[in-house]
Amino acid sequence: MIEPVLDVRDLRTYLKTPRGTAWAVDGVSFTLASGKTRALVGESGCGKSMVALSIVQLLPEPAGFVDSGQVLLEGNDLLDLTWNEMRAHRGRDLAMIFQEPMTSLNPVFTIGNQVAEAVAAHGGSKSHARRRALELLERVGIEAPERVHGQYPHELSGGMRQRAMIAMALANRPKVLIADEPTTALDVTVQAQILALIREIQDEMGMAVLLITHDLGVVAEMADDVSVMYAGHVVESGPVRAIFHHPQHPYTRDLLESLPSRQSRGRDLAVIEGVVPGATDWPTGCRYASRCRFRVDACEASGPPMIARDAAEVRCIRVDAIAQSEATR
Amino acid sequence: MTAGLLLHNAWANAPPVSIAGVLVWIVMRSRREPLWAEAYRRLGRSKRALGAIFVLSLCGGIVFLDSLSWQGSRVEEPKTVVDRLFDRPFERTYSEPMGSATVGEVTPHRLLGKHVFGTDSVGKDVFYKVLKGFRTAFAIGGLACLVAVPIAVTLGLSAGYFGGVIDDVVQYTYTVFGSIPDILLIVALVLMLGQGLSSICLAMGLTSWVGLCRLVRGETLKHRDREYVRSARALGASHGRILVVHILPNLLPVIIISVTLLFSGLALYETILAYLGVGVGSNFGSWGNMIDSARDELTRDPSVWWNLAFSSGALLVMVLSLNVLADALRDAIDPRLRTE
Amino acid sequence: MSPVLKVENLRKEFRARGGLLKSSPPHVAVHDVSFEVEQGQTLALVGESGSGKSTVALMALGLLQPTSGRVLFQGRSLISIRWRERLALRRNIQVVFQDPYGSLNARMTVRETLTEGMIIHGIGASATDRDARARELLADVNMPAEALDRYPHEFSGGQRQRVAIARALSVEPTFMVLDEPTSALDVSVQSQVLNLLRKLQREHGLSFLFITHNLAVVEYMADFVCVMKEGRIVERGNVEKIFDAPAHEYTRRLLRSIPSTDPDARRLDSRIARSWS
Repeated sequence: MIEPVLDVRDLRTYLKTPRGTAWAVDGVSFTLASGKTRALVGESGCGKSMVALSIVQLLPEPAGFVDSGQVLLEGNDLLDLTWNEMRAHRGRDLAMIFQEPMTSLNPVFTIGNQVAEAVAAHGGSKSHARRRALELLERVGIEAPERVHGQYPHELSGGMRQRAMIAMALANRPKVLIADEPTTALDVTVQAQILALIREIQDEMGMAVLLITHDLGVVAEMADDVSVMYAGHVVESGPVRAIFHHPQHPYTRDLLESLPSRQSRGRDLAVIEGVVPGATDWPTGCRYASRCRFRVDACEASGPPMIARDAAEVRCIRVDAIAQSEATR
Repeated sequence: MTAGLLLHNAWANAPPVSIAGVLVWIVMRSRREPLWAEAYRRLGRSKRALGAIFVLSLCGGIVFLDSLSWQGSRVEEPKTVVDRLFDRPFERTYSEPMGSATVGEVTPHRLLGKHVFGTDSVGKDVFYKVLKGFRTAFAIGGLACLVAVPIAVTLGLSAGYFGGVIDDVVQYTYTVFGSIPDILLIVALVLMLGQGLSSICLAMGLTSWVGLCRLVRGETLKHRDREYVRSARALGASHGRILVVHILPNLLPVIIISVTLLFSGLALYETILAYLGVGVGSNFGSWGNMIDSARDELTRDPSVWWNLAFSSGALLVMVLSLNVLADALRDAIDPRLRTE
Repeated sequence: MSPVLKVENLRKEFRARGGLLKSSPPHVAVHDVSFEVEQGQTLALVGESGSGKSTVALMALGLLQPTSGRVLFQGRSLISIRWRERLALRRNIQVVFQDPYGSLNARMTVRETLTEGMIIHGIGASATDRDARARELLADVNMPAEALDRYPHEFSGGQRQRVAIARALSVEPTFMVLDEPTSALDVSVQSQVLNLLRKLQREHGLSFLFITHNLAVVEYMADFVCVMKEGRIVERGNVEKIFDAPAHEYTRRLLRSIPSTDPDARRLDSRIARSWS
């Protein structure tokens, strides 16, 4: 088996809040293979963005801390590195793009300036940086790179800004691209273009992509592997087809069943009752138990481990019982 | 004391008591609202804020005591609590703080009483004058705000909410007012209206509404297109209702912070006016007058510094506390820190 | 049967505030939009940013004056009628906005929010009566009665949206404009809100103008669809026709862009990676 380019093992991250310590990421593990895409999918508050920030070590200061775990980039634990050592990796091997390009781009510098800066951050002359910036702007599908090069972020549309961000991310041919909700703020047609662009570049450069999103459609379109997150845990993990065609964890099932579609027209959508528990006091036992249709007493006694089933891993002690009851329905 | 006199005294004291009562009631009631409850909690955690509040409470206490007055009999002047507690017999002339004899005379005379802060040119106790100055400062600040704030809020709300011609008129107005140096305008108005406490307050109020008006207009613009305002309009709320029930309460935090700063600025202005000779007049105890007298006093031999020092000290303490409080309020109210 | 809401030739221009120099030509947000909504039906207005759909919604609500064109509610025009009549008409059309955080006044309790409409329109004989109605409204949207004394920031996004829906219902409307009511909500919460809206539509006989960019929701909720692009309606029809046989190129492009939820039936392909926006 090929070594994964990114291997996250038992990552734990917490935030200090006025209401106590919030364990935003509570034992998350997954691998990312070169040239493949893994989606981290979950709703608000599940910790998926914190995972990304923990990997690149850009947690909000002074409140966020990585407590334990390993983040192995081609075998080197990023969590062991000093700030300067980490800086060498950021932008070069590891690149990140964010949801809101308007706030991620500096409004007082031109696009060309910022892309060139990304290039120059890891060495090279100014003229080289400028040339490369134009190349990159063209590569991300901007039709008039010369013109856009001299424009400011506020003069561009959302889609163009996101393309510019991707150009900055690609500047140094990263091995891993982390995309945190890259298309959530965009129109659906623009989203399609951006996602297609990411896939195209990934195929060309053999880049690994960690895609963080709450949109199951985006996951189905883009991912090879999926990790479903809930309340700081990964509750189900596996190849994308397994997740969508044979979801095993109750949360994954409920989530897929609650999507509106033509098939569900005229009927009520499946609803997940209750709310996500607050991050400052996770319940003992399974965190989904309070909202789960299949709950039994044993679920609340202690946190369930990940159980391997049918090419996937599921964090649920009732996985077999559920599968049986579904089969006999 | 006869019953009639009792009634008369009670009547005279009703205003300060009711004002104090209203203020306390407002603070108590506002604790229910999440914004204020959260703000009070944050204020309670800041040592600087608590210190400022303590000092200002002392100042407020002095003002309150100086507002409660009564006459012992029909022929007496009404005297306040401060008068009764702190008034001292007049000396002949200046004396140093904690001094035992007069200074500046050919032959020094023994003092009749103890004067912690010394005495002024007519032998009046400086400590007593400083205390009396609090009420003047608060009165000027308070009354001028009472004139300025309604103007600023009304114009700012109208300009921001209705826009168009109203906005243009208001903007031209405050741009004009804002380009004339305040001092000149105040002096001109006071000379027109005649000197005295009320004309000074009126003049100050009419010139200092500009900054707050701009602020209110800006905040109103921000809130006007918010969805909760649109929802209220969809419900059928009239413009008046929206302005008073929806927008104004959301403006209160910034108004309060501005007023706190305005208050201290106005108290400072009074000293400048006194220096220019258009102050409240020498029969009122005021720090401005005390500072003004330093013009001559400092050059005397020996130099008389205590009039200036203690009045400026009191002014400094009050203004500093107000500014610290305003800063702390701003931090406490900041909505970005709210749970969302 | 005459339609509940009819908009005719709506046009809206925005001009930049003129200075002393010659001002730029006005920006036309809505060109010439006409449609009708029948009683008890849901019309979805679909489009991306800049399509003008929210501007149309505001005009339908009477919150924005059209530059030209008319809005007829139950046959009567919303514009240029006396205030008292407009107030009565107002009751009938209510709105739920997208942002559950911004659409409730953070300084008013739930009770105050729900009773405001009642006070304005004189519904409910006394404070006690209004209070009782507020409780019923909360029950209607599956919220506990204790919520009455709380403030919006104590609730989650989905709960706030339900309060916003209850507020809209507080004046007993016949028509509701829903401007992206679930776009800011998580998927699991979205389903609760959609179920609620359908239930209310059944029970109260409401008609909906549903504005959204989420085509899955359209497929689920709508009877009729108008597709908007840059201020114009480029295609209209009932929901099956639009999804099965889209005629206009833009509609087809929209449909092609929706990510499918079946990994075996992927739609995106690299040809659309090239820029045109």
